[in-house]
Amino acid sequence: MSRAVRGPKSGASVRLASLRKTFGNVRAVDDISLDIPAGSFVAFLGPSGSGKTTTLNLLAGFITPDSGEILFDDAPISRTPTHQRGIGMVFQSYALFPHMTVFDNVAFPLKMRGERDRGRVRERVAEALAMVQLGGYEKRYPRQLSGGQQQRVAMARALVSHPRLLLMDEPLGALDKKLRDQMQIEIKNIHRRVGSTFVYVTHDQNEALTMSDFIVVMRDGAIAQAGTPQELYDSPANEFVADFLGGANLVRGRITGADAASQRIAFEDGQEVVVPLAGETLEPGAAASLFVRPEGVTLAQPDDERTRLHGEVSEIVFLGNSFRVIATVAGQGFSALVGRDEIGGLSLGDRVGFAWENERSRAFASEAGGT
Amino acid sequence: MGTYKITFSMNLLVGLVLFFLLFPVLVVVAISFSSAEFLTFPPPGLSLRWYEEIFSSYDWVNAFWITIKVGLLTALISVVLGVPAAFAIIRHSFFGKDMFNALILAALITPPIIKAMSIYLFYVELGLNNTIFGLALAHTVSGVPFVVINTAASLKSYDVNLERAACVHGASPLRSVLVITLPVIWAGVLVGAVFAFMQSAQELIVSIFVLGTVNRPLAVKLWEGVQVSTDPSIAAASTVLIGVAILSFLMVVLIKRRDGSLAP
Repeated sequence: MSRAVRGPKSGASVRLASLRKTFGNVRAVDDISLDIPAGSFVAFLGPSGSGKTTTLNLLAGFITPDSGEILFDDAPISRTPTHQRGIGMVFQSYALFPHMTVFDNVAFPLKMRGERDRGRVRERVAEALAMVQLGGYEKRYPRQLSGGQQQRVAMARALVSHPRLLLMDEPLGALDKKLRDQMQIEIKNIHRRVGSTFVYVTHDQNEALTMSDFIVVMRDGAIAQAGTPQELYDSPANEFVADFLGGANLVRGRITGADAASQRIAFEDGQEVVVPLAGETLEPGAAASLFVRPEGVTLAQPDDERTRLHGEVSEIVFLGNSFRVIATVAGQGFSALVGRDEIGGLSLGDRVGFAWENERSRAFASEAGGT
Repeated sequence: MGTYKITFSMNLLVGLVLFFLLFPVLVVVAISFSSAEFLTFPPPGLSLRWYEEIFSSYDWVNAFWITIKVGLLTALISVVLGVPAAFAIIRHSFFGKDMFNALILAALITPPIIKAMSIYLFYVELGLNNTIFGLALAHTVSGVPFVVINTAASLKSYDVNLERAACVHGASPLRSVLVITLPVIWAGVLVGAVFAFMQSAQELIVSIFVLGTVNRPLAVKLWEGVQVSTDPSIAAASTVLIGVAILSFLMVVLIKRRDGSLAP
């Protein structure tokens, strides 16, 4: 069972092909196709009920798909029972065996997978515990450990048999903010060292942005968008992704016209902006949202020629290294992150202009009643 | 001060009710240590002669032995049948599940005489009357619900992810139940088994029908003793049975306390 030498790229490639899973009349996973490159760190990101956990459970084999196939290294495995898939997993509740010591918990996968050499078991357990910096805790029971320590034991158990695929179901969800930030970096480090493919489920966009090579944003059982964190952040494919990842201005209006390279959105108060055709192309008259990130917005005089939108300052928030200026534009909030020296003598109630580079803005189909 | 008065009168009331309920038991225990030849209360003097009497009597020792054999066998078969039934009820949905559930619990409220007669007639065909195994099987009917109820309660609060974690890390489904789930919920199963044992040890009517002629269990022997003899040996035997019940109850309490510290 043991692999003596592990190359830097020992992860399994994973392919989801037209995967579907229905519970009652809920389409938990609705025709998902995705390629996960070997050795990569992929985050499934989405609100609860978006299908990310169901996808993970399909990968683990806790449930079987209604149709479609899952392939590990191009071999179909959707009918392979869980215990024969050779994967590791970290659960949100950690799921440590309460009646076993830390040593026995971590040794469990080795024993189940047929390792009988006690010396080697000890060696591998020590190695795994050292990786999560928990050497010396072998004889403790899970209930004698803090949440953070239990989380580390769960990591060690999942990694001890050098699985080619590691699944993580919101593993940091129960930890406090500081510990979470620290563990994010550690998990990223561990990923680099072991080279396995990591699939990480989370509803925390920060975690996804910090740790992953690829992010799959899920919604209503389908993939809303998949790509690198930069791609998703800079060029979201729709309003949902734009809103879910990072801060975004989404000002609702209506499409009034388009040409070969751009389309025009008009707002309730009569203002109009022109955005590039890079987002979604919409019919004239369609409800649309203007998208631009607050950090891409600069302040200008309302009558400056660079000004694309103007509004009335309703809030100025000091953030330490910058200010967040919030204005009311067409009856909606619009915010800009500006440097300390750019704020000038701006005060509440002032009229202010907002400018941004054209390619940083998009038009998305607006979802009525959405957030 | 008002609360104190209320607490005091509540305690007094509870104490009186308990005394009323337990007094007959206390009388039996007291008589068992009597030095008199007859069932008289209060006992004129104290002695252990009636314990000596029953423990040196082949009939009584045999009755104890049979009760223990039947009880252990009942507990064992109840666990073997009840644990899988509890898993089925908690983990799965299947056709007729509510009926299945109701059927298991119905054994608890079926009048004993109905059970006794039907089992007796059934056993005539099967040749199971007058066998230890036959009586254990009959007691299992009422033993299974105790195991199912207690195991199901443990399973309900059991984190299924423990079993999933075992599976994902290489244990087959059966192995993960044996190595992880059962060791974690063992307390519930054992409490159920203790109840199944006690239920068997105190059961009279089915025992009379199935095992009432040749080798009598303790309950039947006591029943006969009350009818034919008047010496305090039956009080001594009863006290021993009461002792077993108290020990079982203590065991349940200890298991539950230990289990509380075992919870993750």
